[in-house]
Amino acid sequence: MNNLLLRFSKTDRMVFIGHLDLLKVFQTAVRRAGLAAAYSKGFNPHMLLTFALPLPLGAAGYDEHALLVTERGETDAAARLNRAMPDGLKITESRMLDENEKPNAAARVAAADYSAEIIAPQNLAEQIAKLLSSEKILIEKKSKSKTETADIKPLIHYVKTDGEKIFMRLAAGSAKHLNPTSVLNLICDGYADVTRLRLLSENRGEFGPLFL
Amino acid sequence: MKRDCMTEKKILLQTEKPGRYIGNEINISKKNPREAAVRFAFCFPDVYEVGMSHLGMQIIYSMLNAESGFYCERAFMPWTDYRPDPLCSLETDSPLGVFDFLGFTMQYELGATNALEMLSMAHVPLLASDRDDKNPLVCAGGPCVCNPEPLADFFDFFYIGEAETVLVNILSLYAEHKKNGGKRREFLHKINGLDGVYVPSLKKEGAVVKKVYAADLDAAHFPCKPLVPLIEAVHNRAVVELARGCARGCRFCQAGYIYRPMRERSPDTLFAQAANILDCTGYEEISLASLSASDYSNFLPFADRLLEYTQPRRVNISLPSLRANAESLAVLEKTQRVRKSSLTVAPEAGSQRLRDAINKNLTEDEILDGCRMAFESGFDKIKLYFMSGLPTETDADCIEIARLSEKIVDQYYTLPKEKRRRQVSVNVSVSCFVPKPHTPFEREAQATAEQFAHKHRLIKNAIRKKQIAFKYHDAEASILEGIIARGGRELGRVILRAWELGARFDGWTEKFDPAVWRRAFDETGIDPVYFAHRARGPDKPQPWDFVDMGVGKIFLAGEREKAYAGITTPDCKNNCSNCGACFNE
Ligand code: SF4
Repeated sequence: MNNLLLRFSKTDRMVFIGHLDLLKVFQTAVRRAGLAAAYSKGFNPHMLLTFALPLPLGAAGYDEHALLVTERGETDAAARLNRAMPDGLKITESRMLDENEKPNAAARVAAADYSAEIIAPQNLAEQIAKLLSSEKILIEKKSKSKTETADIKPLIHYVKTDGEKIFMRLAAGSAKHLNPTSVLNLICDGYADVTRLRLLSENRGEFGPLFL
Repeated sequence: MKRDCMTEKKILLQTEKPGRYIGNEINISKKNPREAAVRFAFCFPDVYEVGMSHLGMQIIYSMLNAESGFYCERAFMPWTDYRPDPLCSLETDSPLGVFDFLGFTMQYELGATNALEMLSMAHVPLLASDRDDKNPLVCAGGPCVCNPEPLADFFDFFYIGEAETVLVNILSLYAEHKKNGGKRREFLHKINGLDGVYVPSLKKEGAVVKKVYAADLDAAHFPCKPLVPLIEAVHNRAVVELARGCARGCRFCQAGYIYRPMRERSPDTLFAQAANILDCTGYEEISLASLSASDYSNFLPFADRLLEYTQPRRVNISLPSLRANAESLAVLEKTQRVRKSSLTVAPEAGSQRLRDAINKNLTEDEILDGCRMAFESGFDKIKLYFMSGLPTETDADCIEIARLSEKIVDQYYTLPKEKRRRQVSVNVSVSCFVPKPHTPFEREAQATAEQFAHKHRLIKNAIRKKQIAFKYHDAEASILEGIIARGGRELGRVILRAWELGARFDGWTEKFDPAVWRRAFDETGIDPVYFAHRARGPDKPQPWDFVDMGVGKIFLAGEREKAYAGITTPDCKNNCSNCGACFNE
């Protein structure tokens, strides 16, 4: 099996394109670029393309990850794909994974770093200090059938500010995930412009990149 | 980030689909608008997903942008949850008011209020008579403008027929005119009288406007690098156009007459275009467009040749207009990578008598055989399209819709038991017949809402099998469609009033409000009954008489006579019936 790792950024107008549409944009780009993508078997074969973690609609991302299974080793995939991509999507790095590297982008995600901008920032430092001083941070989580309260404090690794912007590291991935807007709603009112700066894996309490 | 930029972002994110408003598609044309001699905004009076699936848009966009001096940009009607001020183009975010031309495509009569709303969002005066040299020239094309009169107040000029033949010429004339500092009035005089051009403000009694069309499709421009939307559109697929026009001559079908004569693209051209388009779009599906794909000469060899190309590339072929016969089903079987379980058949009328009257050359045996073969090859859902309110239709004809649908269900049970894996379902969809200009039925009275309701009840009560689901279309919207289609210039006042009263997206069932239109008719003193439900005598002049769409008036009148006598007219591919479309030089 050949696994092609794609690191990419999603910025500018592309922040308005949701995850399912992004998947289609990638699929057609792979075909336009002429990469030898592998497909699933069965009646309705689909391209073997997966993403580490969907970005929320409206958020930019600077260190997103996708994995494509290919029929052969591809060289120069970043340059070829970039010629086929719309503005605002840029492959920043591409390489074939080694034999011993597990192609499990999604499972590696443990946390993510975010920055957020607010239309009219006010007393951000104070608000953050107040939030973090409480023993538990309870929020309501709505699911289809019921509403539950959950303590999100353990999912917050840090929240800080330079007075203008907010910076956060939050649990992310399939096991434990905290949405950045859940935290931002507790700090400020109104719209916040969110950027996901990087995706992180965890190894014995240390955070590091998804793939070295 | 700038604050107003963030506010804009926030507003977009609150809309249902922000991706509609950002442009940035694959194969978008990027030019410097300041260097363009002529700026043309292609305006589509419906939402983005609908407009992006429209082949005509792709053709015009690609054709105009192939010229170095022109820059064609796009604008679509924003959905009701977003009202930009002003409305801007997707390519360069330019307010529509700064363009030289705003070119609308009028695909559907009920899109008229959306066109007005787009002009209003662009701060361009709605009435052509209120515009001056600071405003863009506002023009329109598309099937609706084969009777341009109801829209005549709002447009500076119309292009009638296939735009690819006149538009470049018009824009070149304009570039020249603009360079010499010419005024808009003089320009309109200059293009008035060109084939296919109609300037309502310069209309002369007795003058005829002749449609233009591409005589040779192989030479006509085709978009080989079409725009690929970033969000899901109505269709996300490549398109090649097998043929234009149709030789069958179904008497209710406007497209069948206004796009005559039937012209085909050669297999070589189509094949080259298909390969090209697939390469630069990355699509996994290609649609073979035409009014009747199975009528394309040598369809099977062409489909085979295309399959050889598409199969190793995992590309599906879709055939939107296939007749249910053995040959077509064989092609379907081969082309569909993913087996679709549902097949569409359009008998249009329930009884053979009425099918003969409307010249739908399809016998009951052909319909039943087609459905049986479809069941045999694994389909278990059939969609049936019928029309109600057709000329000469009786209650007995309506009940025949139910009978025919039941016979189709019975066909399923002629299959041996082991082949009937699932419950069969037959979906019967009945639309309301709308008489259209330039067809044999252009002078018929349309059924009233009460008559339609009566017919729909008859059909519904006559269906006794539980495998049949019955659906019918809204009569009031169809009646309004008919009124606008066959109206005169006075209809412009109604359309304007309806827009003032808030009518938008009238073609969308959930947005259409008949009460608003009733009020608009009331307040303008125009009687809808007069336009909809009156039979127009054979000698009475009609608002669209001055438009020559190729097919002759005498031929149309003759076809109407034959309809009432139950006489069919053969397919004209091998059997010319002298309609006039081919000798219109
Ligand atoms: S002139 Fe004859 S061949 Fe041509 S479109 Fe009319 S009927 Fe068909």
